[in-house]
Amino acid sequence: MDLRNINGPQSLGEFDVIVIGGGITGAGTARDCATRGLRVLLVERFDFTYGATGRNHGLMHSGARYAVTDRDNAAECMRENLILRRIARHCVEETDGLFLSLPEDDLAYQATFVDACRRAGIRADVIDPEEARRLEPSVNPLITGAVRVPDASIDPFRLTTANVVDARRHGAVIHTFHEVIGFLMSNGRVEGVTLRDNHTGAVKEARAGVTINAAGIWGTLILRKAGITLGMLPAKGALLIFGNRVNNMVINRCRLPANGDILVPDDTICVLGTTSERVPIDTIDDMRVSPAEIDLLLTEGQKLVPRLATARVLRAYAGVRPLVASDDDPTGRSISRGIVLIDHAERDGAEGLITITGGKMMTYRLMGEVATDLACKKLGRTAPCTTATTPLPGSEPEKQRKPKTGYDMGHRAAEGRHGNIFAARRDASPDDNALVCECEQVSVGEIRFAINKLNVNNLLNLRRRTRVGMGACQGKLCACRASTLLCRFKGEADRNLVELAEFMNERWKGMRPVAWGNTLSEAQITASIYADLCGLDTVAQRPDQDNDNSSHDKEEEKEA
Amino acid sequence: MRYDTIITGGGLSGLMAGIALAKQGQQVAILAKGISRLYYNSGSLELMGRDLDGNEVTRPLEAIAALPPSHPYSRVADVAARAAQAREILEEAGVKVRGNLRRNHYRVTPTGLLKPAWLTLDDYLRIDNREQLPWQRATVFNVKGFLDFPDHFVAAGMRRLGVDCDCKDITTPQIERRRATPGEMRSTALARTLESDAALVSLAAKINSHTDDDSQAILFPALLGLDDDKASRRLRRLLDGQLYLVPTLPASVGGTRIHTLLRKHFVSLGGTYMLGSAVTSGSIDPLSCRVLGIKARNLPDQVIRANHYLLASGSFMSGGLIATHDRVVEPIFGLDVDAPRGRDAWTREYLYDRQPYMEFGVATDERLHPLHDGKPVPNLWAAGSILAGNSPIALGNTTGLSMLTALEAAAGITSSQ
Repeated sequence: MDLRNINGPQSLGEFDVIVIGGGITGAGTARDCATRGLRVLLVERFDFTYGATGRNHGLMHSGARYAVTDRDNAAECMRENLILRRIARHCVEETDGLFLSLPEDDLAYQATFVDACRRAGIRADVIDPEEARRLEPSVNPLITGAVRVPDASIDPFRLTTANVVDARRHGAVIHTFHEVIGFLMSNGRVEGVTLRDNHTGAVKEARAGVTINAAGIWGTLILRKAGITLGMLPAKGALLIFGNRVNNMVINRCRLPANGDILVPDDTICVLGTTSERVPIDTIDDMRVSPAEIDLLLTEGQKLVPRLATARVLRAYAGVRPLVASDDDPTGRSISRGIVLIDHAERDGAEGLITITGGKMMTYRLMGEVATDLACKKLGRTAPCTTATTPLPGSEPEKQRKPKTGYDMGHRAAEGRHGNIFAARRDASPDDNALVCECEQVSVGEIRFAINKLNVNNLLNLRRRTRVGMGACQGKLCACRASTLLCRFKGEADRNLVELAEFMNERWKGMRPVAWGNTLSEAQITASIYADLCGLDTVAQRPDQDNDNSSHDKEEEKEA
Repeated sequence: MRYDTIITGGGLSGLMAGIALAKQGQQVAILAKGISRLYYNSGSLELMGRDLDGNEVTRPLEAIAALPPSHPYSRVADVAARAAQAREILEEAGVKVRGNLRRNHYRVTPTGLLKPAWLTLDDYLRIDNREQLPWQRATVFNVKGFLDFPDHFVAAGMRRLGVDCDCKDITTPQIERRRATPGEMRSTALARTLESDAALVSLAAKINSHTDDDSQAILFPALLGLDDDKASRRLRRLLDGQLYLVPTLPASVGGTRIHTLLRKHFVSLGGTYMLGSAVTSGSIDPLSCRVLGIKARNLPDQVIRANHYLLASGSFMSGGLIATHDRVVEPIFGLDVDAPRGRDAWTREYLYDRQPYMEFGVATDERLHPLHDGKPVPNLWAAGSILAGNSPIALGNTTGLSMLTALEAAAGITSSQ
């Protein structure tokens, strides 16, 4: 007999703060709370970066894109941009960005743009088109103008992981696959949450003085469980991943923000986006990219970078921006991307509940800071915020820099991904040096590290932590290799086999909208290996159309 | 040099047809682009593994007879006779296989699952009766550091069949030298290492030291015998227990062995095998509708001519078909392709559903002549995975359809002389 059923839900304990959401905002908020000495519980219904954090451009905005339309937000981006270069250097590639004018664009806009950037505190240097072609040979040779800005490329997966690791170092308790199904309320006051363990189905509860809703667009659904209505406008953004890195600088179009006008280099690949389209709230768990969106992105992207016409499209995916309703704009594009902090005690009479939403990945740290400030005020605590000055794990200064020789490419790649939290493992054995994923240079040692240290239960978790299966081959061999290692280190071969079959289906979901040319050939090879040779078609469980929770974690996602 | 027949594509279809024609005394050239689908082979050849409803097939001949006339198997007049011919060619070439045309056995996949098969290389694990295995205990030995063999999945598969099975890692000094370089531990490189007698003796000593009971099965990744089965026969003699090979992830050592032996046999019959000679274009006379000649990448200025042409260039993955963003083309001759325009209809959302694109291919008449602008090309034949109307993965018939349609086309070529 299960004793929990007699004694009620299992208690996860009492905390100062419960943070809901394992995206970058939740992770950053949990880090801030934990480093200020609060007892923190972070809960996420599936895996870290499952939502919008895992489905964006990986663009570290300078703010230039919003300088003309939203100067405050632009200035905020720039300040955070400078902070992230210091505290998260292992997640950032300092590429700089270009804003290009094409012959069909009004060059007068360039002057407006540069002026707005300077007013927002963003360095914007007008450079000769010839100079732009030299700096970034992939650009359309017909450009009539170019402005250089401090955009950069940032890895949202690494950034989230680093925040989670630091939160845990400071005592935070972290539960992935725990979904909030209700609030513990007493006299209108929120005293904690009821959770369902999405692996076992067990119902649990946790109590805290303050609960912070940091669940992005899903936050509006969570608030309903407390009887609170918050109007949000889910705005879908579709993106395409190309199989090689066409550009080395972030490339933008110098015009008012529109479709398909940003190309961001990211590790070995590049990402083109986006579109913006209002979608109904009940579709946010099942975002699909239509052929029309793909054609639109390709058409617009090729104007900026003609080489995209011949580059292989690896995947298509879409994320949902958590915009808070403020007017009737149908696209969601003119709405401020500014931070929204809601004290539900003031707004709805629900003491103990805070929502932090809106904003951008760029401003996640600031979102964490303002949410934690409010939580501290409610809890009567006064510790100051240190997240703007303390480097994240992986970017901490090293006491003694060891020479970078004598260990292999896989370890350098791992150090690039995890920063110097991985560097302790330089004395690797031949077992650890073996390569699991050639595309992304993921070694057995990195897989072992991720399994032991980074909350990895299955292949999908492993992909988000290490990039295994995200490279040009989309998991053709490495998915099976990694799955075998999961069996070796964690057992449960039968479960891992079913999950391998489902993982390949998840990879297919992102390839399918762009399945022509080499992507179709590669898909056929992958099917030959996993279905024909290995026979996984006989163990795969067809995802249920209805509310099968386990099937939600198989969606397409940012790259590759 | 003028050939009787030029074959585009050096995979299983091209080689089967080439051998059959060379045996008839023809001058045959095979132009091969690169690796063939045998690179992904399981060490088994199949005729038909599942029917159109997805049911497992026990008697392949009956299942093939039940296929609709639109299926390319229906172009093979006498399936049993062609299958016997294919087996004869395999045996002549030195490909040692076991299996029964009337009744499928199971092959064991790299992930420990069972799939129906017709012929399996005789040093590979095959299961005739899943209810009753000839041994109750097995050990899956893997080469330490070899990641392309999912040993734990194989052991779990054996346990599901009621076998007491565990995994052990072993290594030898020869393999340890490979391990110094990450990325060297791939199947074909290891198979070359395990050609040396010293490596096999050392490997056998390691396996024997872990085997206390000679009734026990020894399962080992198929890393033995790229060119023939010499290495696996040698290891078998050195071991105390029964050795069975289990296929690995690609590259397939067994598939490479089949390919190598067939290629050598073809060449020994006087055939010309040109590897790296991708055919770039072929011209068809609009009036006679006959192929006039073809061009190859390594002979750009030369038109290569023959009396007969066979197209065995495979599906998308082999480059026999190419999908642009809205249509599917056959790139050499521009033949008629059975595939709808607009890619929405090419795929299904669930990976393991029957994917429409797998059935795309060139349309042919009853005698395997492909159509060009709706008319059959009389001196051109098509065989294998480029044929329209098959679902090779769903039906489990990739290799069987390749061999049998190739031999049917070869018979057509012979009789047209």
